[in-house]
Parts: sequence; C-alpha cells; structure tokens
Amino acid sequence: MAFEDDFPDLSEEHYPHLVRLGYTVRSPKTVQYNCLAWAAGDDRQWWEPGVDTYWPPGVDTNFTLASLMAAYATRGYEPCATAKRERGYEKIAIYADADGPTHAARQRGNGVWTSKLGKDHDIDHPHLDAVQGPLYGSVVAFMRRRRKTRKRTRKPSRPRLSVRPRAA
Amino acid sequence: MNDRHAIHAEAAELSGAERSIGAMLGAQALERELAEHRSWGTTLSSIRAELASGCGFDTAWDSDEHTLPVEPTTTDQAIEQRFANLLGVWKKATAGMSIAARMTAHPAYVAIIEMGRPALPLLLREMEASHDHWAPALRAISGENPVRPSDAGDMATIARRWVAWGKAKRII
Repeated sequence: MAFEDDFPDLSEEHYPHLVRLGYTVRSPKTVQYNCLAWAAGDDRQWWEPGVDTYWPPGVDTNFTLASLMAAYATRGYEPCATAKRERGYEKIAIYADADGPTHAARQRGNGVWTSKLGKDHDIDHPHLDAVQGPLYGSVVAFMRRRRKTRKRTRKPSRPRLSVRPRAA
Repeated sequence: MNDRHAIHAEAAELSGAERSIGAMLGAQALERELAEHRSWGTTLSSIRAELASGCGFDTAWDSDEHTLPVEPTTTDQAIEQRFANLLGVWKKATAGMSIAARMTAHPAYVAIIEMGRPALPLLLREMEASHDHWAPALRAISGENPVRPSDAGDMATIARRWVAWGKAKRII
C-alpha cells in the first residue's frame, strides 16, 4: 500500500475541528462505499439515488433529508431527538448543508462515532462536531434502531493512525 | 471542435521548453476556464440534468462499428496533459465528498466530459485503477452503458464492466 494512502490528507480547510477534537483512522481509502452506506452498516455499496449507485427500492429518488431518512427506515431506523447514547440502541447522525444531505455518522457501542469520509478512510471520532464544517455542514437529524443482540457487532479494526485531542 | 483540433495540432509542433511553459500557462488557463465554468449556471444545470438522466450529449456514431473512432496521434500529449490537469483538480476537490452527484457536477468533471471521445482511453485506465465515479462521464461520452442494473452501488464491478467494454471495443 502506498505511503500516502496510510496517512490521510484530512485538511483543516475541509475539517476545521477534526485535529482539535481527535480521531482514529480505521480503514484504508476506498471508493467502494460511502458514508451513507457505512452509517447503515454496509461496506459493499455506494448509497445514493442514481444510475450507478445503490438506493433502497421504493424510496423517493429525490435526494433530500426526508428521502435519506426513509432509506434508513428501510433498515429499521426511526427518528430520535438526540445524539445521547442509549442502552440497546445504535444511532446515526445526518449532516446537511444548504443543498441537502452531505454525510452520516454511526454511533458505536462505546459511544464513539464512526464516519466514512467520502472516498477516503473510515475514522472514529468521539465528537460529532469533529467533521462539521464547510464540506459536510452540520448535524440536522438523528435516527436510532435496536442494537442486534444475537450477533456481536463487528469490532473496530486495528487503528491505522490516532490523533489525540489537543489540550484546550 | 475544429478550433480545438487546430490548437492541438499547433501544440504538437512545440519544442520541449515551449511545452513546459505551455503547461504552466495551460494550468493557469485551466483555472480561468474552470472559474468561468462556475459562473455558467445554465450550462452546468443542463449538464447535470443530462447526467441525472443517465446519458445524453451529442456523441452519436455508428453503433455497428466494433471500434470507436478515438482520434490518436499528434494531439495525444496535449490531451493527456489536459486530462491529467483536470483529473488532479477534480480529485483534490472531491476527495472528502460523500455524494457522487456533487462530484460529477464539479466543473473539472464536466470539462473532462467535454473533451469527448479522445478522453475515453484515459478515463477507462483511470477507472481501472481507481474504481472512481467515472461511469456517468463514460456514459455521457460513449452513449453506451455496459453496467447491469443489478450492479448498481458496487463500484468495483461497475469499473470491471467498463474496462471490459473498453477492451471489447479496443479502446484500451
């Protein structure tokens, strides 16, 4: 694997809060799936309405916050009020800017959020604010679903790079 | 199109040093061109509409032919340089984006589509290497779609289908 692939270019321009709040890189770069898929637990497809992309059958192909939430509803998610960790539930946070949805993050069992950054890496980030900024806008909605109990949630892969939060 | 060919023909006659200077000036021109593109709201929206509909563009040719009329030879270097410049701009601008519709609306992506059929082999090689979102551009330029509906979302398979198509058409 190329050197540059192991060390992400997570620019302050795109993610002005990321370095300050800390993050851990969990995967190599890949274009195989996007954040919307990753939030739903799918690392095999690119989720988005379109000719070449996966979109749950029957869901409105106009890409809006409502249609994205409807897409997640097909995977058992329902709207909820906050990001606060709730026993027995896994949550997703949806980001948007003025033009519509831009990103989604999923809460792991330990309360940490995991994000797939476009065509780049998966990262874990303790704070939702970490990826807010000019690229993804801000969090506009939360959803939750019952965490599966029979099957253990896949453990996060070995960290590839960890950046600790900067002291205030 | 004729003007563009004339420019490419002139570029092919330049010396190495002239080409280096040309490349530098070309990068600046590219920036200006993309800036102009950004202000061409009408053009961009029409191209977006074409991309959203899955195809379009005036790229008609004789579909009975087994090989596409990709024009090679003297203009190759200028075409490759322009493609590389646009690709670099596009990759940098869209690396963190999670929505393909936004990536394919980027002016550099639209400019690659506007390069037309000469860009096909470059696009296919890039697709083979990166599995990136080049299917809309390939569809727009070629007027064809070798991807099956059941492949939607599987970027690796989509890339494989296009590369196989390119090989079958002897483009790569």
